[in-house]
Amino acid sequence: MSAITQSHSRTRGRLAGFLARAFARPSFVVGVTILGLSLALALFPQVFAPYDPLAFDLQAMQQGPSLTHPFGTDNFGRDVLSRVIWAYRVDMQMAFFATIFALLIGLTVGAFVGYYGGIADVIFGRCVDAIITFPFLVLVIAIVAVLGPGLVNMYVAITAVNWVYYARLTRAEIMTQKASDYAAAGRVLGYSDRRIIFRHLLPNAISPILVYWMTDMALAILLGSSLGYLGLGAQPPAAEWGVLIAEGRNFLMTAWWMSLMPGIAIVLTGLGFSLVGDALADLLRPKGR
Amino acid sequence: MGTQEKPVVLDVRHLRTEFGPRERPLVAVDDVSFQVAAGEILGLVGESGSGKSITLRSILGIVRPRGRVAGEIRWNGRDLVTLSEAQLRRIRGREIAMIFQEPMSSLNPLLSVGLQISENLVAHTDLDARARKARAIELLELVGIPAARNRLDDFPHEFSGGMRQRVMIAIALASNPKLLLADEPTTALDVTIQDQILRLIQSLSRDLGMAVILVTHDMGVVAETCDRVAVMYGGRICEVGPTAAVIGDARHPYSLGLLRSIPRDVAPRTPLYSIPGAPPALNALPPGCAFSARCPVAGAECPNVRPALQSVDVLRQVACHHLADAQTHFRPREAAQ
Amino acid sequence: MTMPASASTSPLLSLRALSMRFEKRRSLSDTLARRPQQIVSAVNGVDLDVMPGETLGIVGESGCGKSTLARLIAGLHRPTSGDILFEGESVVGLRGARRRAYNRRVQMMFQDPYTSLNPRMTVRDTLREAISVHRMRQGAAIDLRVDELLDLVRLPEGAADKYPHEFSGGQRQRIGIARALSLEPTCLVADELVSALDVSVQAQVVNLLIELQDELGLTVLFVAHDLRLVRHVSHRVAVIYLGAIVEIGPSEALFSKPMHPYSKGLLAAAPSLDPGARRRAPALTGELPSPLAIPPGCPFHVRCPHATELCRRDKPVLRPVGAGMTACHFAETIGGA
Repeated sequence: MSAITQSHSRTRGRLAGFLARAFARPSFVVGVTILGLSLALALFPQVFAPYDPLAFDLQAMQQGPSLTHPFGTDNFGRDVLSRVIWAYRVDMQMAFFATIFALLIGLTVGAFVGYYGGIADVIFGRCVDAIITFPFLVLVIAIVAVLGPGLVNMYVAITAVNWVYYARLTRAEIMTQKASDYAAAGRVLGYSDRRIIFRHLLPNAISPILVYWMTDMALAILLGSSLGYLGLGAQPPAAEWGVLIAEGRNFLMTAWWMSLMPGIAIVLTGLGFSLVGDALADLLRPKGR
Repeated sequence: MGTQEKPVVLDVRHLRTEFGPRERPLVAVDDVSFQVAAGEILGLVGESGSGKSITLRSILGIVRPRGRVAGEIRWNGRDLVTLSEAQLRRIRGREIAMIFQEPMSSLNPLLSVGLQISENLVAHTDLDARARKARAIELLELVGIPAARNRLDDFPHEFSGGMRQRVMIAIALASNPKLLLADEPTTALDVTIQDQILRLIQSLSRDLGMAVILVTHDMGVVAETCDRVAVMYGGRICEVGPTAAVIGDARHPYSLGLLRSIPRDVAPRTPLYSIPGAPPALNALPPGCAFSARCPVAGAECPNVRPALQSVDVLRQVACHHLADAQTHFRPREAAQ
Repeated sequence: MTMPASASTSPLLSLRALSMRFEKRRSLSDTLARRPQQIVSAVNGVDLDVMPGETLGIVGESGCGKSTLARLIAGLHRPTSGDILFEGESVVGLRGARRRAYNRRVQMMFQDPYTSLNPRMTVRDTLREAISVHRMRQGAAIDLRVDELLDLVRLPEGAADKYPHEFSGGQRQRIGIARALSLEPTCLVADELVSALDVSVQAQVVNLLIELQDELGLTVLFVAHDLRLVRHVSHRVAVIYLGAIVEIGPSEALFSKPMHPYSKGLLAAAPSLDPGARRRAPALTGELPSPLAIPPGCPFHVRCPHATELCRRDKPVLRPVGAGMTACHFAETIGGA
C-alpha cells in the first residue's frame, strides 16, 4: 500500500515538475492564457457580454467602436463585442467537436493498421490515397452539400475526412515504436496485443499526435469559420466568427469593425492553440540517452 | 617504434575543450598533452565520456563554435588553436585528414564514389580531369577495393560497410595527408572486416610515413595496431607509453582494472574482475583524480588533488598518487589466476 | 569447469532443420519488370540441441542470422520451415495461453539498453506488469517480489520508482535481466546482452549473469560477437556462417583448436591483447556474401583459402570431428593448431 501511495506522490511530483517546466516558457504561458480566457468566454458568455447578442437596436446601427460599444455595432444595431463573445461558445465547440472524433477514430485505426500491417494496412493505404487526393476543403464542402448545412453535419463531414490524417500519423508512430526492443520484450513476456498497443506503444507514440491535435483545433476554427462564411456551417442569426465576417462583408467600406473584430478573435484563438502545441512538442519529447 | 628517431609532427600541449555556459562549463578534455611522430600510430583509448573523440575533434577545430578549445596544438610550426575557421579549412583534408565511425553518414549518398574522390582532388591538388580519374582508381586500389576501375561510378549504398570505410580512407588519402585522424573507424564493423581495415591503416602508415591517431574503446585494437597508447578517463590522460609496455605492465589503476576485466587467461565462468560503478558524467567530475570514485586504491587526497603525469620510465608517464598501492592491489590476483 | 551432466538428460530445447526466410518488399518497378521476389535467407536449416543448465554460446558476424535465431527461439518470428521443440513439444505458432506458458519458461534479454525498456514506465510498473500478467504473485506479494528481483540484480535501494532514463546503460541491462527473471523462466536468450556497454561495465553484467545462472539453474543461450566473452561464459559454442552452423563443440576445445576454416579465421581476426602476436596480413579476406544470394556448395568457399572443386559443388554437412561437429569436407586436414 505504501508503495502505491509512494508511486502516486511520485507521479504527482512529475506532474508538478512538468508544469514547472511548462510555465517557465513564455510561449506556453501566453498560449495557455489565451486559451484559458477563450474557454472562460465560451463557457460563460452571459457573464462577459455586455448586451444580448441577438437584440436589435435600430437606434444604433453601424456605430463605430466607442465606449458604449467597444467593437461597434452591426447593421441591425447589435453589439459586435457581445456577438464575438457569444461566438466563442460556437467556435470553441467547433475546435473540439470537429477534431475529437477524428482523433479517436484515427488513433484506433492507425494503431491497429500500424501494429498488424498486412492486408488491413494495404486497404488503409488505398483509403488514405483516395481521400487525400481531393483538396480537403472541397471534399468537406461536397459532404456538407449532400448532408445539408448545419453544425452537426459539418462535424460529420470534417471528421469523415480528417480522421485519415490522424490515422496516418498514428500508424507511422506506432510502426516506429513497434520496431523497438521494448515492444519485442512485451511480446516475449506474453502480453496480449491489446496490452502492448494501448499500454506500451500508444503512450510513447501519442505526443506528436497530441501536438498535431492542438494545431488542428486552430485549423478547425478556420475551417468552421470558412464554412460558416459560405453559409454551410453555423446558421445566422447564431453568432459564429465566420458568419459574423460574412455579415460584415457588404459593409467593409462603411463598417469595417463588423468583419475585423471576429477576424482578430480567430487569429488570437488560433495563435493560442499553436503556441500551446509548440510548447507541448518540446515538453513531451521523451528524455533520450 | 620509439619516438626518438622520427620527427614529431603534431605536438598537443595542455589541450582543454569545454562546452556549455562559461561560468559553469562542461570540461570534456582537460589538460591533455601528447605528441605524434611521422609514421607512428598513436592510440587514444577510453570509455564513453573519456574525451577521446573530443580530443581528436579539437585538433581540427570541428568542435567549434559550440566547444571552446584552449591550449596549444603545434602543427608545421603553427598553432592550430589560434587559426581562424578559414585557415583551418585549408589544413583539413589537405594536411590532416579524418575518418569516422559511420562511413555511411560521412559519404554523400547522392554522389558517386569517383566523384567524391575527385572532388577532394580538385580541392587539394592541381591535377586535370584525366589525371584525377587515374589517381582516384589508384587510391581505390591502394585501399584494396577490387575492380576499382568499375566501381568509380557506384554510389555509397552499393558498397558494404567495410568497403565504405575503405572508400572513406581513399578519400582521406587523396591529398597525401601527413596525419590521419581515425575516430573509431572499425567500431561498426565485424571482427574480420575490422581486422582488414586495421591492417590497411597499419600498412598505409608504414608505407606512406603517415602519422595516425586512432581513437578506440577496444584495448585489443590498440594492442594489434598502435605503436603508443594514451589511456584516457574523464577527459584526462591517465597513462601514456609504448603499447607493449602499457598493456603488458600497466601502472594506473584504471588501465589495470580495464585490462583485468577483459577475460583472458582466467578459468571459464569464474567472476571477472570488474571496476565498480559507471563512467562519470562530465558535470560530476571531482576536482582531483577523475577515477578516484571507482578506484580501489584511492586515498583521502585523491578526489581533491589532481595527480600530474609523471615519468615512470623513459617513455612512460602515469598520473596517480598511489602507484605502489596499485601494483600491490592488482598483483596478488594475477598470481592467483 | 562445471559442465552439466548432459549425456543422461534429454535436451531442453531442440531446433530441427529450422529456417527463416524474409521476403524483401518489392518496389512497384520491380513488380512491373517482373523481377523475381528477393528472399533473404537469414537462417538455413539449423539443427541444435540445448541441454538443461548449459550455456550455449552463439557467435558469428553481423548478418549471419544469429539474432534471427535468438528471436525465433523467443517466439518473435514464426519460422518458414522446421521445428522448435521445448521439452519435446513443438512450440512453433503457439497462440494465447499456450504461448504465454512457453514464454514464461523461455525469456529473452535485448541488446540495446536504451530501447528495450518502456521509457514511460517506472521499473516497478515494468516488473509489476510482468508479474501480475502471469499471476506469479498476488496482492502485496507483488511488491515484495519486485524488491526481491531488484536485489537479485543488485540495483540500489529506491531504483524501483525511477524511470529508465535515470539509469546508466549497465543498470538498464540489469533491469532487463530482472524483467526476464520475474517470470522465473528455465531458459534465457541473451542477444548481445553486453555489447552496447562500456568495457568496464561489461564484466559486471557478465559476472551477474553467470552467478544468477548457477544460483537459479538456468539454461542460457548467449548470442554475441565478442569471442572472448563467449569463450568465458559458454560451456558449448556454435559458430554460425550465413544462417547455418559450421562448427559446434565444447567451448575450450573449439577456441583452442578450431576445426572449421571460418572458425579459425574468426578467432584469428579477433584483436588479441598480445602486442607480440601482430600480423601484417588480415586473418580472413573478403566479406560475408549477401544472404540474398547464398553461394552454392559450401557457403564459405568464396572466402576459404583451402577451397577445392568439391567445396564449390557439394555442401558439407555437420559431422563429428574431434570434440565437436564441423561442416567442412577437409576438417581433419585443416583443423587444429
